[in-house]
Amino acid sequence: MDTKLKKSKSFTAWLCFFLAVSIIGGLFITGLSALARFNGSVDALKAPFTDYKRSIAFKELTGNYFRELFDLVAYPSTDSRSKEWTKKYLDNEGENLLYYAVNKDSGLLVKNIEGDLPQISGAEMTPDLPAGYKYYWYFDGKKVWVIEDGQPVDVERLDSGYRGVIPREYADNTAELANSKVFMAVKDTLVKNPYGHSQYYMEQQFMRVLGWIYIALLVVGIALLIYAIIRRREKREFDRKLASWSGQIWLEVKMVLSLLALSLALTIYIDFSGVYGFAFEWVWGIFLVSCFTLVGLWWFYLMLVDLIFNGKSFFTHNSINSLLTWYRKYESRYSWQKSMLNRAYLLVAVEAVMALISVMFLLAAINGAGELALLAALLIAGAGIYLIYRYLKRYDETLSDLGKLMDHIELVKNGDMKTRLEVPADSNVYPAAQNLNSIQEGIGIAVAEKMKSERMKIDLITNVSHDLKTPLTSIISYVELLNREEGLPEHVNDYVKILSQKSERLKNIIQDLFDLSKANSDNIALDMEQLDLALLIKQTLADMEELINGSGLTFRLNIPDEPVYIVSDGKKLYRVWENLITNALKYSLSGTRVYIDLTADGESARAAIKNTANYEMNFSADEILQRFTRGDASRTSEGSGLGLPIAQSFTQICGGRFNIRIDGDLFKVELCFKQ
Amino acid sequence: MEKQRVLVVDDDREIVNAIAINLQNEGYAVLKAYDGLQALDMISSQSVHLIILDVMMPKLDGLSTMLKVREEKNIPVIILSAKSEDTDKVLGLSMGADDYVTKPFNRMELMARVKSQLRRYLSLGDVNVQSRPNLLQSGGLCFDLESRTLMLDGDWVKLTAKETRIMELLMRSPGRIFPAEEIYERVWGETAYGVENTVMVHIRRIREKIEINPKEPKYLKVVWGIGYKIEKI
Repeated sequence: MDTKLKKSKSFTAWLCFFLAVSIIGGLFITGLSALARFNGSVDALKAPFTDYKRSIAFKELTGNYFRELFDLVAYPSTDSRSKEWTKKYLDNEGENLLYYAVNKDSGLLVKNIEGDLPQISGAEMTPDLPAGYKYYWYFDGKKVWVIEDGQPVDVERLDSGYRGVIPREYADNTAELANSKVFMAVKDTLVKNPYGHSQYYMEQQFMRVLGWIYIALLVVGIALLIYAIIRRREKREFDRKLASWSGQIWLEVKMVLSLLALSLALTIYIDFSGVYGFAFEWVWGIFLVSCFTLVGLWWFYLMLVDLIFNGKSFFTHNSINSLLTWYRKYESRYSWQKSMLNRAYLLVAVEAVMALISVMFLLAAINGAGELALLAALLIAGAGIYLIYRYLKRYDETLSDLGKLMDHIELVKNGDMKTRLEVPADSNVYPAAQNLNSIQEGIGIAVAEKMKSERMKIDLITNVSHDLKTPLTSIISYVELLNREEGLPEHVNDYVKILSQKSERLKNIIQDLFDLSKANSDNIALDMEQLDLALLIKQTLADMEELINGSGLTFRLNIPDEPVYIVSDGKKLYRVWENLITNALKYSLSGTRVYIDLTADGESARAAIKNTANYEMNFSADEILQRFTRGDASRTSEGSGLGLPIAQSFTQICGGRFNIRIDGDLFKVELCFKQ
Repeated sequence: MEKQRVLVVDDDREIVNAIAINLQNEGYAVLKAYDGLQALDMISSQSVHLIILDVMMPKLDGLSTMLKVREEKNIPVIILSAKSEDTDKVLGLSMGADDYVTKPFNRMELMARVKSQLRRYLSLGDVNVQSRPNLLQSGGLCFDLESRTLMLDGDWVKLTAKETRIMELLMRSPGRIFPAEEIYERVWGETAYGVENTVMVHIRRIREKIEINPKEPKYLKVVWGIGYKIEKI
């Protein structure tokens, strides 16, 4: 409802504009035509507002009447039928027109005056006429006189309005006309003829009204124009609608219609500008000229609006483009690679046909078929070149879009989940781009979800670890206080000692558990730098020297003296080696040797620690890496049982590989790092 | 002499109590607070020589409390936290804590750290170290280039000749990592070949002398796989 109202509003505004411009333009064209029609005499424009008898229309009509009379006397062969016809024609004016034409040589006489030709006396040339006839034309056998109020009018003056109106045939045959006389007088006050249609009277009435019609139209036109200017926004809206309608028309059709409109206006103008005759006729003629000119004007206005609102698409919406669009829709039925191939084949085929036709036209033109054939040849050749241009442009776009697609795949691979791939909707790779975008979005969501859950896991680990540590702190603190208490019975002291040991172990387990969970959550901060793995192993051994010395085991090192550089996190690797050595110390048969080997070949650094187990290893390598699995299966000894899993996790997050081999009583851990 | 007063802040009353008993046994006066705001009240109303501060507390957390205290006073702060990660430690120390002890703590270690901080605060607090150019300093560790002696929290540390030269070398550039070969070549004056172990043994001995907990050194640190350094504090 609302939109309908709005629509009608915009249409009203536009209609006002249309009418205003049409009316004002029409008046303007009419005025211009009148000016041209009357040789630029401004009097032509004033005519409706002055005395009819001073107007050019009056002079022309009088001239027409006089010519009829004059023709009768000038051409002696004139038969009686034409004489009758002329008489009837003149008699339509009734008492508005008095005439008398005589050719004494042929004896022809036409008159509506009683008696003889009015005597024209001497220099004043005042004929003896009934009252009310002061204006007359008179041919005295030599020349045409126009007399007004007894004074001859200088008909040769440009501004007299008589140029082209006075018959001049007498100049060619003065001899035959010497005995001829033509007289015609017009009544001062033009009256209605009850016996016929007086042209004079009708034109007078018409001219009187015409002026007012003009003024009324002008006023209405200006009022409408002002309204349209006030409502220009709504008018513009309708312009846009017009543009959207006309935008659907092909450029070629528009061009043909434009040419048609132009030629129509011109033809009509040329046709009607030559019309001489009664005021009715030329007003009608001018009206038609105006109408057709206006139609042409409005057509070009529509084109202008189209151009302004549709911009580039004004030119691009043409038959070739529409054909291409249709073809694109058609080819979407085929697979991508097939449609690309088809396109190339089709182009070659079409180009061949067009070239053939073009050459044929060219040959025809050479053999004398004329310019039209040449034009056709050129047009077809132009269309062919345009097609090639379009194909290459499209090809270029497709290649660049493909490049974008590949770059984007690279981007997604590198973890950018935010940037979207923007490809025009009509691109050949648009569906692929859309798919890639949705894949990217999906991965992005999955990654975000994973990150969120990882963060929650870390929070959980941190909180649980804190919540475990706080009561444990109290336990350890109070056990320590108990430990310092003196005078307790011996067995209570034993109990306290057990409490002390177990709480210490609990502390280690909690810390290890925390470290392991964190390492497995992929959310651990790494401090990667280049370090010497050989040095690191030596440093760890030095750090644990006391433990090693007290273990009764011998360490056999096979470590190169030169540095073995790897990129890793030193602190984490220290934990790895600490755990591995502790493990070896704990589970080695006493008196045996522990071997630590390190080799590097420039590609990778391989380290191994071997020991002879002090128990039967009836488990697999995988099982030992299970959390809390311990070699001796009993859980009485110290340690969290997480030593190897932590070593494995830390090795892996530091970028290394971790392997366990069990061969009889030989327990071997192999580490491998990239160099 | 007036008893040295230690403020213990933790939202767990039992932990505060246990620390208090230990401190009293060592002869300190103890103030107890159970959240940050309470701690700030006590600091403003009474003179305190040391604060043992928990991090995760209601009302005002430990780090914020420490920043508030630091705005006015230079009382040493030992942070006592269940957060044991390196990042937590670095954060606490960089925000102005003098020491960082993780829960569950060892009684002896905590007492040693308390003693060390108090000694430094009370005896050395007014010594303007910057004014003496031939004094190398990092935290509570001072190396006097003139007398070639090492002081820890104002106490003389007995070092062998080699250990003294190692410490002099490291203390001249705190924070710089020295590879084992470089230490050997510059201290022993001989070309190093397969001598890392010698250096390591010396380093370990020094650590045993200057560190409260040699397993978690505060000053003399091993940079695994690269070398050794004195922490720049």
